[in-house]
Amino acid sequence: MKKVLVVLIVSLLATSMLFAGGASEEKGAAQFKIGVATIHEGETWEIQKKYFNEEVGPALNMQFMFSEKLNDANGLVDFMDQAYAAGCVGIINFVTSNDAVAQGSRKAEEWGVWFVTQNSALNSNVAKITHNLGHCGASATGMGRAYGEAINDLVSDGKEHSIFIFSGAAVGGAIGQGAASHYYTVEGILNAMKEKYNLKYELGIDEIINNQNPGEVATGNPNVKIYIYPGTNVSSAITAAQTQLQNGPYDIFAAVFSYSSFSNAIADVEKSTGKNIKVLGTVSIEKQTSTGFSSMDSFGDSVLSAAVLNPLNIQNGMCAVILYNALTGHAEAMKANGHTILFKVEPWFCKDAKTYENISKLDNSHETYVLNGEDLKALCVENNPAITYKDIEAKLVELSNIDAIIEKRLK
Amino acid sequence: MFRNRKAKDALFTFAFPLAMFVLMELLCFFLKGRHLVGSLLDVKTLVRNTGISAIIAFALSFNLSCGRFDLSLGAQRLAGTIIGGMIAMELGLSGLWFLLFSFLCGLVFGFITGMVFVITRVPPMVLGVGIGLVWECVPYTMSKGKGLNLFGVHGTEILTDTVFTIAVMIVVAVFVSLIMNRTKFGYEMKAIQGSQLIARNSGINIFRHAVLCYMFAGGLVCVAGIIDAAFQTQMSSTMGLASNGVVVSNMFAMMLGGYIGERSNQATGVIVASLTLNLFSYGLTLMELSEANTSVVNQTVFVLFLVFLANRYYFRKRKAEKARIAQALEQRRIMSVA
Repeated sequence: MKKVLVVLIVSLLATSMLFAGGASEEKGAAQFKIGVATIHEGETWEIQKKYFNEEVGPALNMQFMFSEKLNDANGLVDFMDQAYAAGCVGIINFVTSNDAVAQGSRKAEEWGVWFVTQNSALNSNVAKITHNLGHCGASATGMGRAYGEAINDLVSDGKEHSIFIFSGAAVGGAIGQGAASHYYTVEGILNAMKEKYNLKYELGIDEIINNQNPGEVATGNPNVKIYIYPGTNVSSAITAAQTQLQNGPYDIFAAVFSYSSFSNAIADVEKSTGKNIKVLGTVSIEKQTSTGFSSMDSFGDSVLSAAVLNPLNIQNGMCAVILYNALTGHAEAMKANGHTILFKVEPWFCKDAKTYENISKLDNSHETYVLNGEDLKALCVENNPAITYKDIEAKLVELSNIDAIIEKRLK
Repeated sequence: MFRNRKAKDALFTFAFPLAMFVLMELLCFFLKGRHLVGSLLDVKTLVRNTGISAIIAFALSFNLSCGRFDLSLGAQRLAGTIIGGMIAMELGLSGLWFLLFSFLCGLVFGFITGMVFVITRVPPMVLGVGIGLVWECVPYTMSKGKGLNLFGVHGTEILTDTVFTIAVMIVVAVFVSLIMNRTKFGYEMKAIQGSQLIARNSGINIFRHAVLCYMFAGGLVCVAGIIDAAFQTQMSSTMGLASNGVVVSNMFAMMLGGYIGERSNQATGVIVASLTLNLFSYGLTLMELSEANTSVVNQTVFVLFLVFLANRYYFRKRKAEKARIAQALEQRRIMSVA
C-alpha cells in the first residue's frame, strides 16, 4: 500500500514538473511583471485595464497585476509587498500623496524594483532615488488652461454669469496634500472669471482655493458671484450645490469630478427656479460622458454643457514605456542628469456634443488608441537608442492636439 | 387623564423636530441671513434625506435592539442595491422593479448572513466584518468594478420623486410597526430584548428570529440604497468595509428614534428622529461648515446624546439612594433609641 502511495506521489510530482516545464517553454521569453497600484474603480478603470492588458502588455511584453482601489500610503506599501512577492519588477503607482510617493519610492529602492507614479506634481524629496522614475500625469497647469478655455466659451454671450465650483481635493493641491489637478482646475476657473469680468478678489487665489470651508468668494462685483465647495463627500456637496444654485445667481456649475452625481439635483433646481444651468466637468472617454452629452435637460440643452477630458490611457502608456526603458537598462535616458522628470499630459477641451462624438470613437481598439502599440515601441530606447525623456515630452505635446489626433486615427 | 397623557406624549415626540427647526432657523437667520427652509425644493431635499435615513435606521434597529451590531449591513446594502439594480437594468425594467429587485437581493444577502450567524455562532461584529468584506467583493466582481450607474437610465426618475419617497417611507414604517406590535415576531423580539436566555428557555426560537432580523434589515437597507443611488445616479462598488459609513452614520437616528419612540412607538420615533437630525445637518450645510467641522459637530452631539442616555436616571437614582440612606439612618436611630 505504501509503495503504491509513493509511486502515486512521485508520478504526480513528475507530471506537474513536466507541465510546469512545458508551460514555461510555451511562454517563450520571460515577461516583465508590473504591479499597478490604482486609486480608481468603476467603468473608467475597466477601460484603462483593458488598454493595459490588450495594447500595452503585448506591445511591451508586459504582464500586469492590478491592485484593488487603494486609499493611502499604507495601502500602496501593502500592495507593493504582494506585488514584489508575486515577482513584479516594476510598479505603476496612482496614489499621489507625498508620503505615498516617498514610501513607495524608498520601498522600490530597497527591493530594486522600478517605480513610476501617475501624478500632476513632482515629489522633489525623492527625486534622486535611483529606482524612482518620476511622475507622469495630467498637466495640472494644462487642466487650468483647459478650464479657462471652457469658462471663456461658456460666458462668451456677453452676459454676467456666476459659478458654483465643486473643488474636490483642491485644498493643499499645490503642495502635494490634495490633488494638484483639482487645485489648478479651480485656479484656471478663477483666473478666467477674473480676466473676463475684471474681478478683484479680496484674497489671493491660493488663499481662496485653500480655504477648507465652503463659501462665496468676494469678487468685488455684486453681479458676478463665485461659490467654492471643497471636499470629497459628494452627498454633502449635492445638498450644498442644490441650496446655493436655487438661492444664488449661479448659472454655471463646475465639478472637478463626479459631475453626473449632481445631475438630478441640478435638474430639480432648473425645474423649480426656471434657471438654465450650464454644467462643466472633468471626464474621460466612457459611456457616461456620451450619456451626459446626449441627455437633454428641461431647456433642451445637453446635461453636460462642456467638458475637460483627461486622456488617461496616454498616462498609462507613457508610464509603461518609462518602466520598459528602465527595465531594459536605460533608466538614465528617462531622467535629466539623474533627476526624475514630471511628464505632463495635456487635457483636451471638449466644447460640445459634436466634438465628443468624435472623441468617443477613440481608445476603443488598436486602430483607435491614441497611443497604440507601435507608438509605444517607437518610444523604447531598445528600438531607437537616440530616445530620451525629451522625446517623450515631445510626443506628449503632439498628443495635446485633439483635432490632429481625430484626423489621424479616425479619418 | 388618558387624553392628557396622549397629548403630552405627542408634544414630547414632535418637540424634537420643532426645537431643532427653531434652533437651526435662528442660527441660519442670524449667522447667514437666510431661512432654513426657503422653498419647496428644500422640503423635497429634507423629505428624501429623511426617508433614506429613516429606512436605514429601521434596518439597523432589527439587529441592534437585540444586541447584535451587524457590521456587514453596509456591504449588504451595496451588494443588494448594485446586483438588484443590474438585474433590473439587464431586463430593461423601470423604476419600481429596481426597488423590488434591490429589496429581494437585500433579503437574500440578509438571509445568508443570518444563516451563517446561527450556524457558526461567531459573534455578530466579528462575523459582520468578515462577511461584509465578502459581500463587498460580490458586486465588485459582478459589475467588474463599475458599480451601478443609473445616469441617463430611463424609468428611474420615479425613485427620486418626493411623493414616492414618502410613500415608501410610510410603507416601511407601517410594515415595521405592524411586525413589531401586532405579530408573534414582535412579541418574541420584546422577549429577546429583555433576555435572550429567558426567551430561549421559554420556547422562543431565537435563532429563527435572528435570521428573520438579518433578512428584514438586509431588505430595508437595500430599499434605502436604491433610492439614494437613483438620486446620485450611481453607486460605486467600494471595498475594505468603506460601504459601512452610510449605515453607521444613521446609528444616531436609530438611537434617538428609540428614545423618542418610548413615548409613542418605534416607527414614529425613528421617522421623527431622522427628520430632526436631517434638519440639523441641513442647517450645518447652510452655515457653510467644512466637511471636517460638520463631522466633528455631528459626532460630538451623538456622543453627548449617548452620555445622556447612559446617565439619564442618574439624578433620580441618586435621589432614591439618598432617600434610602436617610431611611436606613432613621431606622438605626429609632432602633438605638429603643
